[in-house]
Amino acid sequence: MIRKRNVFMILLLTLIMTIGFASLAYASGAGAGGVIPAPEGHTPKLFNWYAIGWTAVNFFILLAILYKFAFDPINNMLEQRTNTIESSLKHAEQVKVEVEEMRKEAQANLAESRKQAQEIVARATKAAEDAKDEIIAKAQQEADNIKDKAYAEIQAATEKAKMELKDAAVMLALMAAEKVLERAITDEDHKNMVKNFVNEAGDLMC
Amino acid sequence: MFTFGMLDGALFHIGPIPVDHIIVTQWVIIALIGLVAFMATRDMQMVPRGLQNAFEALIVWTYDFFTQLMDKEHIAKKYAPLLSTFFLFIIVSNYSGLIPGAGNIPGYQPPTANWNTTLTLALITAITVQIAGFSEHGVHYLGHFISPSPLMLPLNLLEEITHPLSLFLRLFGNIFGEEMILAFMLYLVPFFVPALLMGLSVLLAAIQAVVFTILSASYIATATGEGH
Amino acid sequence: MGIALGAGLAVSIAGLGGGVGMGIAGGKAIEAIARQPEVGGDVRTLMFITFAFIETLTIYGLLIAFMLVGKM
Repeated sequence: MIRKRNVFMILLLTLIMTIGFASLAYASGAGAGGVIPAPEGHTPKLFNWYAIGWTAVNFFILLAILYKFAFDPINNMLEQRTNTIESSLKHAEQVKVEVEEMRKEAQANLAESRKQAQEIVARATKAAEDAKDEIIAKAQQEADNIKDKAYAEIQAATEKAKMELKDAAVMLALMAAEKVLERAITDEDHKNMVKNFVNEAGDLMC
Repeated sequence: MFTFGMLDGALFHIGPIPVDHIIVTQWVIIALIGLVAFMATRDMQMVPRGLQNAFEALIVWTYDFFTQLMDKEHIAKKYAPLLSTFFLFIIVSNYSGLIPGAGNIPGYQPPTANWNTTLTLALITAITVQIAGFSEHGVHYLGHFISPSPLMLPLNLLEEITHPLSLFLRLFGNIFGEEMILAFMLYLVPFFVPALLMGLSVLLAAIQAVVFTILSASYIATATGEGH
Repeated sequence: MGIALGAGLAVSIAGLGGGVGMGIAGGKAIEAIARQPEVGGDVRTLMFITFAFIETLTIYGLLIAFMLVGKM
């Protein structure tokens, strides 16, 4: 992957860097003869057990402080927040259920009232129907009554007219018979005779 | 000598125990982190805002990160505080070398530029890895030292040593080298060039803190994983 | 003079090797992210870990150089 030219470039860079760093190190590190003055001090000893012990103690103090002031309160707060959110979610669920129930109830009420209204309408319709029937029946009855009465009157008038006709026929027959016979027969006889005849004749005629 | 003010030796004594410059710097850093943590969690609110929000986001982010890295959630939960502490301590230490005027204080240097500090951190990681392995697998943890065959025992032991060694040398070398090069550049070219290098070292300090934490987490994950 | 040259060689060879390795690793990582952006986070984490490993070798060279200079 790395071609020959790149290898050459890398080698060149290494050389330049080596010379640069070496000259820097020589310039700064040549003790009292160094070109650049460096501050005094000396490299700390590795495995300075006092420092290691102190650092460990400090670290655990920091851990304790953070436990006291950060992890415990934050964990508690997180738990509390979780609980709060859970309870509020539960509450929201409950409210939802309640609302659903109320909605159902309202719907039921609506259906009920609609049914009632329908019933009322039906009842009113039925009442109106009944009233109509009654009125019609009454009118029929009245008409029948009137018809009957008229029929009876006609019947009566017919009877009366028949009677009158009969009387008139009796008179006519009497007069005719008087004329024909010219003799006096007792009225009683005559009347009886003629009546019988007229009756027979009237029965035949009528 | 070419040492750039790496002062060694006791600053003062507490009884018979000597106290270094490094230790005092660590105290200051611990006080700083503790103060920020205290301020952040002083009165916890249900709805986080301001410093609390930032600190909580940091902790929760590290938490999620370790959970994602380690696969086993209870392990992540157990060791996340330790790893977060590593992260905070190292990043604040690294940045403490970049405070303006830090080079003018005699004996001052970031704690992570001293190899005793990073050695301690690496040792803590090594011991934690072994403890984690034993507490997760019990005696079976010893089986992984002879895992493919007993012939691999020296190599496995060497691996257990080189892991903390590389952690120690990486962190120390990076921060120390960065400090050295910065100092060098300040002597050679006092203007402009050190600023560029400082900008680079801001990035480098954060990356080294992240890398140390990630590698510690992955060592713990390897020790507690299923393969052993 | 010899120690100074040795220190320079240590730094420059370690730095160049690390640089070439980092370039290849970073290029491959960027290729991977460009091909599959949805695994970008994982690739980035792995890339940083790899960089840290490569960098360690460079830092070893730097430390050797510091030690050599300290011996001067």
